[in-house]
Amino acid sequence: MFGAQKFDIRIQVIAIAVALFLMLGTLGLVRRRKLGEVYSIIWLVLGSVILVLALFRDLQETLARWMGVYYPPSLIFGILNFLQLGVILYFSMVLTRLEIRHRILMQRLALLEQRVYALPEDSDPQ
Amino acid sequence: MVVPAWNEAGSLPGLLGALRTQYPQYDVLVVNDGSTDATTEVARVHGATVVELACNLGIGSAVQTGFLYAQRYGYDAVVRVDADGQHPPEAVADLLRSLDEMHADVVIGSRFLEAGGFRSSWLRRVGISWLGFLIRILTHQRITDCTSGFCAYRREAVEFLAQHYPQDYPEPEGVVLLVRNGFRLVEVPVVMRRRQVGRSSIRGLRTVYYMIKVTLAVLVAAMRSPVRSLADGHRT
Repeated sequence: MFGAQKFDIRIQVIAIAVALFLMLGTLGLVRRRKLGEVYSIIWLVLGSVILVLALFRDLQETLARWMGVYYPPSLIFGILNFLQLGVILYFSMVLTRLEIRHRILMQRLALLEQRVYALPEDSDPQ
Repeated sequence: MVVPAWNEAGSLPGLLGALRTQYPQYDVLVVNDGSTDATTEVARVHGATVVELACNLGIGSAVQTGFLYAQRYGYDAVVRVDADGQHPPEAVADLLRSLDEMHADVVIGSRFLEAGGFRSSWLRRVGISWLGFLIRILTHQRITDCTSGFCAYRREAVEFLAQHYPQDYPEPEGVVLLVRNGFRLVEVPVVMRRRQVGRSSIRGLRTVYYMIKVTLAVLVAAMRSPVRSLADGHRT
């Protein structure tokens, strides 16, 4: 019984540490302008979810029982997995949107360059 | 005439020379899809207008750039001719004539409508039949060579595709897109040649990827609702 308790506290400490590391790291990246605020929200929310579940053991156990999870700490990882899937899907969408915009930009640039090339030499305003 | 080209400096002189002698009345646009060779210079020396994409965007985007150019400068029709030598220049006239005679918006040059010419490998023909079968089920239109890029497009189709042309491997998906949006497609027989220079970009594992990607794209294209109202499609 004591052994199980001790194991639970250890995983709890690890989860809290990971959550804090994730959230502080995110804030640091935003501060140094290496991460946009929009995307930082995703990581802050992920961090908060881990933190809340790690801090409030009762909530964790209630949720776990309600979802049929026998080992409550694994609930954290389960929820995290689903959230991460969502994040990855969202990033694929962002990537697709960027590809479309990039394509349109490249095409416009190419047509514009062709027009400039076709200009007579002496029409240079300089 | 739109010639999409990715590192085709070797094959362009022959094609552009033939196009210029046979069709002095038409303009030739080479879309250089981010080549690392002298494609642009070679094309300009041989009298073509060149639009140069800053990086390699793939065949769909390159052809679409040609449509955008044609739309901007108000051309009545566009013929896509590939630089690898499979599309015979002398058949361009057939495609354009069929556009008028058959009152079509798009004319596809088909290798399989009549016997003769280069007909690709056995495995590829199986793939092409599968896509043709899918397209017939989804659009009720029989297309024998849905992967053919040798096509002529009337102005309305050009303007539509300038906005909506598919990426990567665009031909079969383009067929579904056009039929779903009320354009009239017809096929005419074309005797194609074995490619003169280089080899197909679709080989090895990419063959598998091609089939999966195109099958998915065709299915999804059939599930999308038309972007163009059908009333526009029935002109006189």
